[in-house]
Amino acid sequence: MSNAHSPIAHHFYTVEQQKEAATIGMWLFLATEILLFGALFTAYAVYRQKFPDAFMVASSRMDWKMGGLNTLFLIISSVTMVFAVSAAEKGRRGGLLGFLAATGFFGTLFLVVKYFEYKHHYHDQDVPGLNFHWAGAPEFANGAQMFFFLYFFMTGLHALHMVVGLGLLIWIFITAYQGKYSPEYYNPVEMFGLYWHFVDLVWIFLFPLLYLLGAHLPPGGGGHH
Amino acid sequence: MAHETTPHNEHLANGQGHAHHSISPATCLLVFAALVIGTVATVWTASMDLGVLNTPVALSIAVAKATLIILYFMHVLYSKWLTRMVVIGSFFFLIVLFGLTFADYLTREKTPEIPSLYSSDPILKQQ
Amino acid sequence: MIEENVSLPRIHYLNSHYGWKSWLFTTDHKRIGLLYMISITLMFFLGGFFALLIRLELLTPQADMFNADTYNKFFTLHGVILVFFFLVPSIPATLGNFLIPLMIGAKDVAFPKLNLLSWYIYAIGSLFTLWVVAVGGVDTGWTFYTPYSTTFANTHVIAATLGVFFTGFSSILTGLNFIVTIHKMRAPGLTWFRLPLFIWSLYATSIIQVLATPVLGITMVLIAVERFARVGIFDPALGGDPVLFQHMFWFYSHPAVYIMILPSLGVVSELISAFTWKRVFGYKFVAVSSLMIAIFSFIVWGHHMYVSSMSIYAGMLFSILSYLVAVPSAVKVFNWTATLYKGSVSYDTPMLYALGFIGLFTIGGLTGLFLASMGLDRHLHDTYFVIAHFHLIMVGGAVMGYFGGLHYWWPKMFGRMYPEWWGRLSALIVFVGFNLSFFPQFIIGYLGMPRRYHVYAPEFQVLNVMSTAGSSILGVGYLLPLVYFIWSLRYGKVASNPWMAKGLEWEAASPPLPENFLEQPVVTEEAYNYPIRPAQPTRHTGRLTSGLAQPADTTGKGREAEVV
Repeated sequence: MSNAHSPIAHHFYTVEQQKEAATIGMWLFLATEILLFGALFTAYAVYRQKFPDAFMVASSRMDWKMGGLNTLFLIISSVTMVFAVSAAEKGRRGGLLGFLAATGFFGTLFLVVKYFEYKHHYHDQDVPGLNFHWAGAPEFANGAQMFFFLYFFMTGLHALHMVVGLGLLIWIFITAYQGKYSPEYYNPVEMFGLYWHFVDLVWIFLFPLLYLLGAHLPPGGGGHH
Repeated sequence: MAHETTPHNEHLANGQGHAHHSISPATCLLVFAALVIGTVATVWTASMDLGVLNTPVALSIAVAKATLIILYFMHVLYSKWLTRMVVIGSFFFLIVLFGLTFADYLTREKTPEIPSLYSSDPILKQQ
Repeated sequence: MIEENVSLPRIHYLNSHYGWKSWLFTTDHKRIGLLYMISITLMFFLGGFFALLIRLELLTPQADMFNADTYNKFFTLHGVILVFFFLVPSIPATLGNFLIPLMIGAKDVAFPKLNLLSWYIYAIGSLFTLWVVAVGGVDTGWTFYTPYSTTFANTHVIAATLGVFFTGFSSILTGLNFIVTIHKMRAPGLTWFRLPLFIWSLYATSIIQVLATPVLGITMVLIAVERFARVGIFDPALGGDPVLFQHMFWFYSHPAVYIMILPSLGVVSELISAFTWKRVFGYKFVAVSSLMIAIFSFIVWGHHMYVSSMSIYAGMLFSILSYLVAVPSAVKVFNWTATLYKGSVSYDTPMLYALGFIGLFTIGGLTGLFLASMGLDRHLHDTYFVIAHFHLIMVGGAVMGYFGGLHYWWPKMFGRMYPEWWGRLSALIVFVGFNLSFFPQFIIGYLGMPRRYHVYAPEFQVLNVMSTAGSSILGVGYLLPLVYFIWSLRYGKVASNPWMAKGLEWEAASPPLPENFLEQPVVTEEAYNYPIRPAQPTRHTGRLTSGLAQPADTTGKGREAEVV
């Protein structure tokens, strides 16, 4: 148990104890993430309640097709992640590497789309603190700025989690390539899976709350320059 | 509390192999299909003007999708009570944050009625 | 306290490795506990120094020493440093880190590397704060209220908020580690209701740390972003709502008060039990009351905001909920008192702190009820009454508990005793100095002196002079332990378990071995299984060389020592 290649750290007694500790630890970390994003969702709710129309008009400036596409990318990457964990559990190294690569691929696609969205918004002068300019109805200016601030802050924090996730994914991929994981020990793969699903989960709320508020408005429903 | 098993005994009793509970590929693809349908439904319902129902509908679909992910992809359906407590607990305190903050915002408009009670007070009116 | 005839173990955690690397890269929970202890002691005296400057300025009604801006910076730094960098990590990160694995019979916490990482994150946060101190300070008050902090303050708000953000994450990691450790690392036989009450209180604390701190973290980032990018999330001119900041801030910072006090409540439960030689009365109620306090702490934050333009209906709700906290707090106080009844009480240094704690915590808690009522709070809000109230909880409560715990577990941590006479003297000085500092503040607050002003009406001077005198005495009381603790490391009498205390941590060597226990302990009884105390004369004569050697006729279950 004490040799250097043993998957059990010195202060645990059984594999099961170590695995359960890691699972609870990861979930507690996700609990902090839920409250972290939750505080932002609370702020969002407060300002949406304060500026319902401005949020609707500002949201109609979003491209929901891009957001929808990204939702699909994240869901697919979540599914491939499930398959990656299950491959690790069964000790299929090739399957693990393949599904990890697929997860990374769709995660990267998400960020690429996000990049073009941000670029477009920058071009349209939608970025508070940088170049925000509201050409729509003046009574919506404050609310729209608030909307876009929350949009950038929340999706930015989400994207930061994606970037961190991709970094972790590369590390998992390398260690998997080195053959560090076995059916007895694949905690890091499974824990990373939890993290990745959580990031997906946040987006599932962000998408309707940010992209679709103005989807029922007629085209050009107010805020366009 | 003699009947309570200690953590160490638990490990010995359950042994290994207990943790193998990942979902089958078929279930996984079913959940995937449900998530895609949910996404389409979100866009579809958002494109209609449901009035005050717009947000509740969108959030209900999102909650359903999130529940699927938590239960199946994140294995909570198959996990121990402690993991479930962490999940339930974190959402519970998130609801506390929401609920009590909105206890303020949703009743704020009504607040100005209270000073009017005082303003009808003859003593205060003299001042 | 008994005289022991023991010697130090040959190899223990302090001498198993040498060199600065063996400390800065250690993953041993005991060494990390000491790293934290050194860091928070520095912060304690830095924050205390600012407190003395505040009290010096308040010696006279006029501005003698500092102008308003400097004074604002002093009370802000006093609050930021002592709240976020001393009180929040104090007991959990030092005594908790050191004792949790020992108390539950584990080799280490569940995630030793994460434990070390949390200290480094704390250090980064501290460096931000020290940098703020060095380059000119911050003047927003420790609460960083908007819109002042976001729009008007021209001091180093961003660095200060980032410091708080970092130390918050350190606190999260510590709490996360403790929860997993307490769940998964307990020795065989150590069931939940056999755990020491200190463990229960740290478990409750950790729940708050994990669930509340992220909200503070993101709020601090929002302030930094709003200042940096000039966007208006809390700026009323741009449609923002400053009161939303208060909601988000107090969602953490009210529970944070319980992060500070709950571990102390746990320490006092241990002390009361050890120095009355009795099981804590109503053990289960005391254990569960810690959890109740933790849960209630999340639903009362609005009582800080009665005069903030928050809806008065929300105010009523928060007021009613706030009274709830009194119930589990009172459970603890009553049960400690009941434990004292017919106990075999000895007045060693830690017990003096514990008794002082009970009185001050009770008064601090009861004055909190005044402030929780909306009508009275209109009058008392932002006066010295509030200052006195929360200092009774944070200093009279949390710091007294910390000092009591330090004195109690000092021989466990270092295998040596401090001079008992000096210990008792300093406990007395702290108690007298504390009361002299803060009781006058209740009165000046009630009479209407607002907080955070460096000048005041002349009629308040007598009470302010008393308060300043008290704070100087308190400062002496805090410096004394620093001196004799350091002295004892080298010259103190070797000790192992001078209190004859029960509990798994006292079965380990003093100082503990690097791996804590030679083999995994198996627990068959609860932490407070005290036998009937041996007849009085044997207590202080030194005939009992160790608490473990009990005469056969005293090992039967005592009336108060029933195993659950």
